[in-house]
Amino acid sequence: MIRAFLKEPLVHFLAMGLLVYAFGVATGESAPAARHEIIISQGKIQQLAANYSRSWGRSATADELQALIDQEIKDTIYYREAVAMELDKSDPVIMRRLRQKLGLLYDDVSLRLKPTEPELRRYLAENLQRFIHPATISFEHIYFSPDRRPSPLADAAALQQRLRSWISKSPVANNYGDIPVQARVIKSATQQDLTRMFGANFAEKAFKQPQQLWSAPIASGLGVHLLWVEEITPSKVPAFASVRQDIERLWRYEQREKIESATYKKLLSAYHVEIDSVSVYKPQLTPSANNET
Amino acid sequence: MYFRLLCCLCLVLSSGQFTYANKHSTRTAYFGDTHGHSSLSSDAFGFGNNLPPDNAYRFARGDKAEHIGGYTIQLKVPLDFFMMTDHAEMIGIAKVAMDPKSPAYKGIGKYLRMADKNKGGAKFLFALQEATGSGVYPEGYTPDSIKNVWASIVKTADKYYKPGKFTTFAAFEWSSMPEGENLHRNVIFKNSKRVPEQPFSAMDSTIPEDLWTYLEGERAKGNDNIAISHNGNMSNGRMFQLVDSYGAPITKAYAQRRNENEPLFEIMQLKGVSETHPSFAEEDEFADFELLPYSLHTWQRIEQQKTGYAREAYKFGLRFQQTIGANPFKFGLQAGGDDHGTAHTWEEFNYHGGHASLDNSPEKRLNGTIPLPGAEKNLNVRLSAGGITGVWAEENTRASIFAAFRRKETFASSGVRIKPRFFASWYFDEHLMAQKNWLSTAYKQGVPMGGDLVLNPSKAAKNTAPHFVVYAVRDPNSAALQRIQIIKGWTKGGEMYEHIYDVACSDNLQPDPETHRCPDNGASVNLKTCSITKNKGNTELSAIWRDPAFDKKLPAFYYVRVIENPVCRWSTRDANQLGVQPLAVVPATIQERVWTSPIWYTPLIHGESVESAQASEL
Repeated sequence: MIRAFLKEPLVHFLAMGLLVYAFGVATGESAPAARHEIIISQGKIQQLAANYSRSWGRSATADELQALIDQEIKDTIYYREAVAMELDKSDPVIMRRLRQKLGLLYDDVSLRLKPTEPELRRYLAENLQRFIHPATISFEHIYFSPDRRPSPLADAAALQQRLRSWISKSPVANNYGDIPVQARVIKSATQQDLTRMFGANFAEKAFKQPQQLWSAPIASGLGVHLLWVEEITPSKVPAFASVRQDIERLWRYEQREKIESATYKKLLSAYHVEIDSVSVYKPQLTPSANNET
Repeated sequence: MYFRLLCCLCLVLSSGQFTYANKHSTRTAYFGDTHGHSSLSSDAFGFGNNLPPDNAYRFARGDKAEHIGGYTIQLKVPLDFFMMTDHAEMIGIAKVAMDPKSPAYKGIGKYLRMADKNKGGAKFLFALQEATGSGVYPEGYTPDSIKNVWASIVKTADKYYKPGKFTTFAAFEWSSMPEGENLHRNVIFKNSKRVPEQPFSAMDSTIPEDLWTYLEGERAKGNDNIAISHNGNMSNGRMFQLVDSYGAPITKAYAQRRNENEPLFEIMQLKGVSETHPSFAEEDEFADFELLPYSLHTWQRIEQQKTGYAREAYKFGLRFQQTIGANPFKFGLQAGGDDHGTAHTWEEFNYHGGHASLDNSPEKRLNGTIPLPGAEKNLNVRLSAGGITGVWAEENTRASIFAAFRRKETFASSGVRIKPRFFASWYFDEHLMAQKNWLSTAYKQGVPMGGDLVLNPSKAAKNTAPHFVVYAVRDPNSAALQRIQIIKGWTKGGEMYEHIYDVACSDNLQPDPETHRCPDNGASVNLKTCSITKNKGNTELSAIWRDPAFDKKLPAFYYVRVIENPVCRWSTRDANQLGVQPLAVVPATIQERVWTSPIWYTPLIHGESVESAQASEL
């Protein structure tokens, strides 16, 4: 997969660009000819003016604009002198900032990638468990509270005998049983939802009940229940179109990590690294990343 | 100026509540843990934990997770919210020391690459200990290291935040323990976008007032936060001491700052319960519960002080209310895991230890101890499976859950998902609970847990006591409910008192009118199989109650304890698994429970209530 990736022209371009860039940073080369020349362009002035009005809610006066330009010139001179004096070298804040900017390049590249549909479908197939919809159940139940009756199980069984022949649940549930602790009608719940609401045993049994029929009594962590299962939707792989965006997002995130690590590998290969006192050390290519979401 | 600002903040917060209350007036119980450690905590790393915070988040939201012991664990019911609170002191130092790009790699990191792993590990930890003592960071570990680690912690919290499904917070633990006495606090930020550049550690200061200054500074910048103190039981009475950190008397300003910064207290966790202690709660048969009266420093037994425990602190708080006109200990209750293995299992039937490689097998848990010279044998078996926090919130989001923390509408649980309701009002009808929508009436007419009931002069004139309403539903994956208790504390003439009322009994039993206790409901546990008596205990329990000894002139607090039928303690399950007898140093069974935040009653002082006196200062 990584190998295929490195063939992408765009990645090659980026890697080359990064190499040049990184080399420049490493050796401190810059264009000395332009060091004593400062051009404040019309575009720059417009930018300064726009920043000002964003901050203050009004346009800068002529004096204020002049002051902004003076400040810009001063900043530029100080910056260049500091760089010329190599004050930026080994400064951890500057190093971190530059690394951050480099990271933005990776983001940018990964955003430009246009995955094909077969590519995304393959990704879905390889990462199925991250997208799969668990089975859900919708039901109505009659609740028999152990707090309110001496033998909830017997009461439930007796009622089920009477209800067995009914083909419609409609008027019944409201007239029998006790006020349930959970809602009377449960819609599209997963087994984990039911474990939370009724306990693990009930959650397991509920999914095994026939549909459109009053069930035999089922004990839960709360009491005893008769279930009218409206519908059980088995677990399923979502339609490609409905999760395409999610797949693409995860795919893109993965590609970004791959580009970064491949590029770092390239950059690293151009360096000779020596570490005092640790003879066997080998540089790590992927510093402890946690990619899973 | 300072306090004015803080008070503005709390006004903003309480006005926020009202809009929510209209949206979802009866609120939902969400469960979470506010306390956990990964390999970013140097002690956890020392215990052999090499896992990043990611693993803990995935485990808490319900995924299968790798345990340090080399097996897979999973929660029966996922948590709704979670946060990691790695120790701020040299946070992430092991990660930094193993990173070749960090200067610490060549510094303290060299120990971690020694061929003799044990020797290297010991040297590493020794260097950390030295650094903590001297206040000088180990070689190569810089303020930048801290900032980077903290940034990664915040990022990880954001990564797992799924509003409506699973809420996470940016958090850390401030681990101050002057003279070995535990003053730890967990710090939680409401908003991850505006967190400070780095956490505040005990190497910055060991004084709680300094932590408050840091927190207040952050709040002034618009990022609300709280600190949650814990393990008063291991503080040698220092957690709720009756003077400030400099030995000066507690003032109104101190009380206000403490409540503003520390609205909650973690009453239970891995290292024991800090509700009360049998040596001063003689009337309370349920006080001997998961106690751990040891020093966190030496792990030797220490004499228990009242000022290490929440119930006593509440009483001292009332006394301060009378003497200085402000209560410094007006905190709500919650609980946590304090796991150091990156995956905690609050469930008694699913406990896998809390100190990584020190207790990741039944053998180590039953026979092992804390590896310190002079520590007692079998300390591991005394550790509890830890607790979780319940909040009553409108929705599962940072804003909603944090608002519940702020208004103290919280409860602590020994690990089970019991859902307790608790309200007080002068206006409740005797038959309130027969109403179909009694909950919305309770919210409209009363105050929920964590709230204040102030004197109603017209009602009090008729010598009427307020009504308390309690209701609880059991955890469908644990045992049935046995009883609901209301615990009252008050002070009179400088003396402090408490009384415990069973207000609802299971199995249609009635509390004894003399002792106010429910009769035994006959529930028992088979210690061999850990099966429990069927048909004993209740799914729901409720009561509407009036304090028979209500005195309108005396300030008082009332909190609820809901107690389950007994189940096997985790150590009994471990013993069964190994085919040995349960150890006698701990009970074979426990009665899991929840504790709600109190409702405080405040009478008139000098003709006006304390609240209106404070309001007039604005």
